[in-house]
Amino acid sequence: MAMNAKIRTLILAAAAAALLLPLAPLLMWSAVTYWRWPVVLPQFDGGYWAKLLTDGRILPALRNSLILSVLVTFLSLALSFFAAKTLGVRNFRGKRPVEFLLLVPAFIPQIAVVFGMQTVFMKLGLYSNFAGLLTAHLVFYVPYATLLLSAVFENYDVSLEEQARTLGVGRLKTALFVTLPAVRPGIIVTGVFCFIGSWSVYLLNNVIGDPRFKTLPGVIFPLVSVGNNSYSTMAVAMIVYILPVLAILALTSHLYVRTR
Amino acid sequence: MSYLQLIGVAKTYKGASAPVLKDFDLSVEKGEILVILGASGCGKTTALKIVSGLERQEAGHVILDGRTIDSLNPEKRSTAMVFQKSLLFRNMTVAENISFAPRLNRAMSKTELRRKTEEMLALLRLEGMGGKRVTELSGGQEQRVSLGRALMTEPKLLLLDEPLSALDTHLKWALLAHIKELNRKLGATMLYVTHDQKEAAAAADRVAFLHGGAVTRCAKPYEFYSRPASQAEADFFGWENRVPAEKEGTRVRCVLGSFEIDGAKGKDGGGWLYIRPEATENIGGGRLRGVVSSVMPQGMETVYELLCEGMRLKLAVSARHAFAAGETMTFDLNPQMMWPVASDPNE
Repeated sequence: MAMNAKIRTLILAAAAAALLLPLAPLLMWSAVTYWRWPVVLPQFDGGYWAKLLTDGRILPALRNSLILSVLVTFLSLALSFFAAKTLGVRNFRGKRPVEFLLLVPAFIPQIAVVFGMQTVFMKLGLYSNFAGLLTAHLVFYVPYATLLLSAVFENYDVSLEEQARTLGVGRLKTALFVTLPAVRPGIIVTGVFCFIGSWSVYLLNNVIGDPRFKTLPGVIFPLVSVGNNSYSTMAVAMIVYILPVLAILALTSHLYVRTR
Repeated sequence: MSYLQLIGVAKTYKGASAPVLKDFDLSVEKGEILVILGASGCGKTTALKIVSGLERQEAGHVILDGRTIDSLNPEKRSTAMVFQKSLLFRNMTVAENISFAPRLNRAMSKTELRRKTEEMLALLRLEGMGGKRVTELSGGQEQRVSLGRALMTEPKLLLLDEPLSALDTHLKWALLAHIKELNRKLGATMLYVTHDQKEAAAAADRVAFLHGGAVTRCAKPYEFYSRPASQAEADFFGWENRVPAEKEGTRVRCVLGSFEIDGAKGKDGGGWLYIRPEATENIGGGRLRGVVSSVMPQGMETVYELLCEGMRLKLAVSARHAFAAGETMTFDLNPQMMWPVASDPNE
């Protein structure tokens, strides 16, 4: 038992190292002002952090990205839940074509879809505003979540619900206290994928989104483009971009382990 | 009027060529254990699901305690069901599983709920295990928790869908004794489904034999063992041998001889004489002779397959007698373990 615990700790430490070690150079470069040949030791300075954090665009963009990605995650999960359950637990004619259709948004390059969406969204009054941006994200992430969750429901025993109902528990309480806990690990994983996907979207935000509602990729990517030759600026930008994702991963993995 | 009545129930599944239930009638009295017995796929579980509301019938009615419950959802029927799998909620403890329904429905105060849960744990002989996770339980304990969870709802009718079939033999009989004890102590009315005739005989106050989508007979278990009413019943209840026969009153003639069978009713004429494997007597000194073709030792007795007067018979003989394949056995047959059955025109 003690040996098992030790092995588990070692595996966890190795996994954490594999995840965090690539970030070490980023952390170092975020605080280095100069380190070029023939200088042997780097010169450290927190100036880039101060510069980026006092840049009036970063923190609002961070907040906007969080709002958007969290909303996209929860709405994608909510809108896909019952469709995914039907796909997962039932067999019906046309099930495979439906699953294929759900894959289409992932198959087709976003750039090919976005400009067509722009035209349609303009007609619908969904262009250049938050509702349009949210809808555009959902167009991609609801099918994605449906597909992922349907795989979760394929291993779900629907008799659990029948059991609850024959014990006198209504549909809503059964969904909340039986179905949801039973598929919670799958929901957590799907949610993480939706969050990371939405967090990384650049093109949609720029083409469909409200210019006043800047998201983090829109602010960060110019800083890491080819023309910018400051490693430190890039490193600080990347850390700001990655940290929320790591925080979400840490939180959800904790929830995931607890659920299982 | 019976406590539970199913009248003329019919059900055909989508895409199926024949109905799984048709003209299905059944009556269950308050406080009894009625077992629906039949071969796999004969519609037993469908009947149970129709009573619980998980399936809807196309025709007929379900009346429970004087009230027609056809249109009610499962949660409104005052029935509770125990499935073949224990279907415990893995994210809850044993006590949380047992108190599941009254807790969610706020059917009682927290103090009362705690007290009743403790009482149920004691009744299930699971004292001190309320805080355990259900993943720590054995198969028998899991099924007892499932039973307790259903009984906590104080249902008018407890439905048991092959609740013991996933358990090993020892646990199975122990839990069956427990179910009967609960029935006696709580006076719970139970509708129990199984395909195992021994389990049915042990559990039932009465057995309803389901064949061809309908209940062909509802009687005490012993009736089926001693007096099968049809070929299907005889085949199902371990009447392993049958020979073509002519019946005239209580006398039945066949290639094995002429036998006087007490209480043989039914119409005279051609049919079958069914013979239980245990009918063998007077081994080594009897009138009949058979050549042994196979030997299947089964502990205290051995089952022989032998050829006698052109008929293939399966006979159980005490293990004291030992015959090898190819040897000749002489024996008699006890008429008390024979029963004539009229031919089934559908067979």
